[in-house]
Amino acid sequence: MGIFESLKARFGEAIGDAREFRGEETIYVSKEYLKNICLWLRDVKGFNFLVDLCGVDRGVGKTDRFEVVYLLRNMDTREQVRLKVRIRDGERVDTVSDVWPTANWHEREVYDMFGIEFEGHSNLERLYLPDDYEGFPLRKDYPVRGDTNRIFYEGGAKTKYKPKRNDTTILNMGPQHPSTHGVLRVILELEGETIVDACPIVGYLHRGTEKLAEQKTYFQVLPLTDRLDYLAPPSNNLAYILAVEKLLGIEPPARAKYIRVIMTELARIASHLIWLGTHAMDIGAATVFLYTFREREYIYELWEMVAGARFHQSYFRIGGVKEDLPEEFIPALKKFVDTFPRKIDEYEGLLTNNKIWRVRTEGVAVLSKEDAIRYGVTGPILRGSGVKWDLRKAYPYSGYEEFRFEIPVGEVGDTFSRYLVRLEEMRQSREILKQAVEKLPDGPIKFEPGKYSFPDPEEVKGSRANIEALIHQFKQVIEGVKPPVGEVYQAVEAPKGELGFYIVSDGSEKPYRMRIRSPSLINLQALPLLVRGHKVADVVTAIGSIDIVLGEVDK
Amino acid sequence: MREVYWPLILVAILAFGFGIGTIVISKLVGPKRPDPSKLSPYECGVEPVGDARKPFFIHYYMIALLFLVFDIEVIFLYPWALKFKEMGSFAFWEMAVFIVIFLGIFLYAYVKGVLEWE
Amino acid sequence: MLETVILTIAKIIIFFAVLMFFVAYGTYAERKVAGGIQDRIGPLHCGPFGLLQPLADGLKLFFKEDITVAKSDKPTYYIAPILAVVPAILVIAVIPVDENIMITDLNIALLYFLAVSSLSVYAIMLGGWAGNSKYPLLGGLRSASQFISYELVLGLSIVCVAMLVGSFSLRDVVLYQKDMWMVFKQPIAFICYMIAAIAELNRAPFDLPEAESELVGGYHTEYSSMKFAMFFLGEYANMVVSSAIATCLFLGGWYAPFSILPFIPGFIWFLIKTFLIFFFMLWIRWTYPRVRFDQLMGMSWKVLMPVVLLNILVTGFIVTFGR
Repeated sequence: MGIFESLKARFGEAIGDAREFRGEETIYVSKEYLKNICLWLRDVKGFNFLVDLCGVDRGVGKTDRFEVVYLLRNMDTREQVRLKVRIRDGERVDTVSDVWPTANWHEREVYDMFGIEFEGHSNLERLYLPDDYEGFPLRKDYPVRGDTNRIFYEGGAKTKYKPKRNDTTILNMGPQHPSTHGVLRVILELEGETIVDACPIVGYLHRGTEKLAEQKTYFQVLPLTDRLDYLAPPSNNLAYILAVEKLLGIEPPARAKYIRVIMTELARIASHLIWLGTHAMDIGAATVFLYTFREREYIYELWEMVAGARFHQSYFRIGGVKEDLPEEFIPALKKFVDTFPRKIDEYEGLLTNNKIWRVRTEGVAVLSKEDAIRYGVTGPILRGSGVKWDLRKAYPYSGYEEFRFEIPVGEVGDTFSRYLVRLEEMRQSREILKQAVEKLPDGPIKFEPGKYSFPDPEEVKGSRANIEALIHQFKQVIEGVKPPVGEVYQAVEAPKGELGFYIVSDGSEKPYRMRIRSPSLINLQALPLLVRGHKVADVVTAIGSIDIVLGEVDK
Repeated sequence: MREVYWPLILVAILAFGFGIGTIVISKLVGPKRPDPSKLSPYECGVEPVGDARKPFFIHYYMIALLFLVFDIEVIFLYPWALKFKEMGSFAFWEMAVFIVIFLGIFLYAYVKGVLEWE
Repeated sequence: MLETVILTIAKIIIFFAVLMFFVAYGTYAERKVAGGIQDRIGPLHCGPFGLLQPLADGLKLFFKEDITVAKSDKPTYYIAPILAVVPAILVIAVIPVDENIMITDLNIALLYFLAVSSLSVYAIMLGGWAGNSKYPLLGGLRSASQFISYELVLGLSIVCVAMLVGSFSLRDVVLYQKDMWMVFKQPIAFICYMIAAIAELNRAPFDLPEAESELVGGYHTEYSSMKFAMFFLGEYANMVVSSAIATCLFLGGWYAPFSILPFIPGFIWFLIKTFLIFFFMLWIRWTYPRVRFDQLMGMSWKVLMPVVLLNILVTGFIVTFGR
């Protein structure tokens, strides 16, 4: 019996109809029973993980104007189900933040962007935008350029935080702080140097990527995704492109898949290298930073060979990749694959058995397995807490099922476990790269070029110019691709965790709604849990160990 | 040049003169363009919450007390260290008893959890 | 009498100049050593090999705006940076660079050193408090905790040396080491002294009052221009002085190691040894992560204190009954 049938059997009239698109099941439920349904799904059906929660504005005139979308996952059976609640403008929905604590920030974000209020939420405030901001930007009737009369907001200058005790000191860490890895602000309530509570405040880098995406064609959205986790752009590109391909129902050729894997695994290594360097520097070991940047520089050179850009490559295309690999790339990559293990040993030599490193990381910022799942934490943090979960194994994409690699798992869930997990991930990524170089197939690199992506420039205006390619070029520029009506969620295992794109298509050339499930944001939510009772110095350790990147946190 | 203390005064004059002189000169030659946000205390780019000068928890208060006691006791060691060679075994045992008492206090503080400030 | 006064003044000026040279090129050495350790080059463009970099830095800081934070406590705000350099300069009065080259040979030189060098904690505490800002305040408080933890260890490890020598005069201490350096007789005291000295100097891995990744610079966050530079000057001057004292106490001062190369004058040996210890401090800084505040205090009270006390007992026992 499927989820829908059992839900129908249990809740009857509260369950609306169900839809399936590209293998994803969507069930409409009534808002009165939402909480009971969620509890039942969690406790009876084992949907222990809330992947994503977001809002959709169906249009100004519609009777049930808003949808709140819940994506649930059973981590044991790997089942996923999407619940939808339809509400009218001004109606309230029950909070699920007591069912899955991770929903707390999700619901704040939905409130921030759509103005949907959640009944029973503990602190329903704007997540990203300043308190005095007027309007709800992701509503369809909100102008793209915002309120042009008010161009400057004293954003976040006010303290949203109310102290728990009156004999404590409030210390503001960030946004201008060397160890918050960008413009993150954390308000610390201190008793001496001990943390009573911590409150992360995000939004200083909010650019409204989700709103921007609604104004661009599917292809034009791609460069926006580079700017999310700007330390690993190929991962973002991949997640977005896979989502669009799923929406279109196409599959890229094998060679393109392999090239994508090579690029994203390099991204994982590059991202982890930055993490290692900055994390070590936060704890006071300045030298590792320079060492990791040396190897990262090499990766950037590799990327430059392939994509022409070092940082924001936007190299993947719908249905493939932009160009084939240059000749000099494979030997250069082989050299990297051969030398990299020695470099990791070098970092380990400086840190792993260093007594001071051990006392600073062992037992610090512990996250239990249960809390990790409840707080929706993903990526190396989840694995560091002892959950063997990796999307590359759980829902293989882009040909990952053809590679042999291990999922490293930590035991304690402290900073040191996460450190070991990430180091091992770098080794495993190198292992994948090695296999990819060996098995790289020949063949085309695009699926039906011209139809889903730009045709070869040679065919448009070069020696092989023909009218058909010219028409394709014209069509691509004017409208790009037009996927069918539907909605998909596609996630990849990004270096920071589960990066998911939820795209709603209304059949036009632009996404109707694009939702980014950014791992950094959701992982960051667990920060107070990690640092309570620790020292000021451990906040820095914890932030470094969560490995956030503000481009992704603030979207 | 044993027991000559007056050079210390010269050195002190030099030290303070250097310190004060440097600050005065830099005050004179540097530019002055004050503005309110430049003169406000640093708190990571936002306006500070509350005043920094208010009662503050010092967890190591007990250790500070212990330090005061020990520091005074250690002073006894200095004269002893100079002369104990000439005074034979009696002086040694004398100080051994002192140090053992010292360690005893230390152990007591340790067991009582003074050194664990959590 | 007049001759002695002039001679002493000349000596003071030379000692001071050497100290300042060491401080200026200490910053240069720090950056070059850091560069070497981190697989990069370090200062390069000011003069040959970047040798004029310290001068350029100094000049630049002179011409920077001197900001006085609005809510600061003015007297302490100004006194703190001065206090940061004064102790280090005061200590040079008792350092014997060669058998007969020193400003004055006090019979209580070690006590004088302890007394004067512990003044530098006031600079950091007051500097942290004066700005009326929270990060410096935390830095100042950490500095106080560091001080109360390591002052005893520093003093006790010096007692270990004084017990063997029977004098607090640094000259006597070095003369005692003519045949065998103190580091071989008192290795534990040497280790304790080095750890305590690095902690008292607020150098990494014990640079908690500064801790740029946590406290954004700690006690000197609210300082600019030369006032800011004074803290650094003080830090490097204290490093030089501490290295010099360590050389006297443990590394045989001006004596050549195992009496080799007798033609090299003693003060050269002294400077070489001082620089080696200085280099050792740089090396540690660029290799180790920073310990945490409670771990730092724990290490001192739970490990170093008992160890150094037992060392005194054992030393006393051997000296008394070993003959």
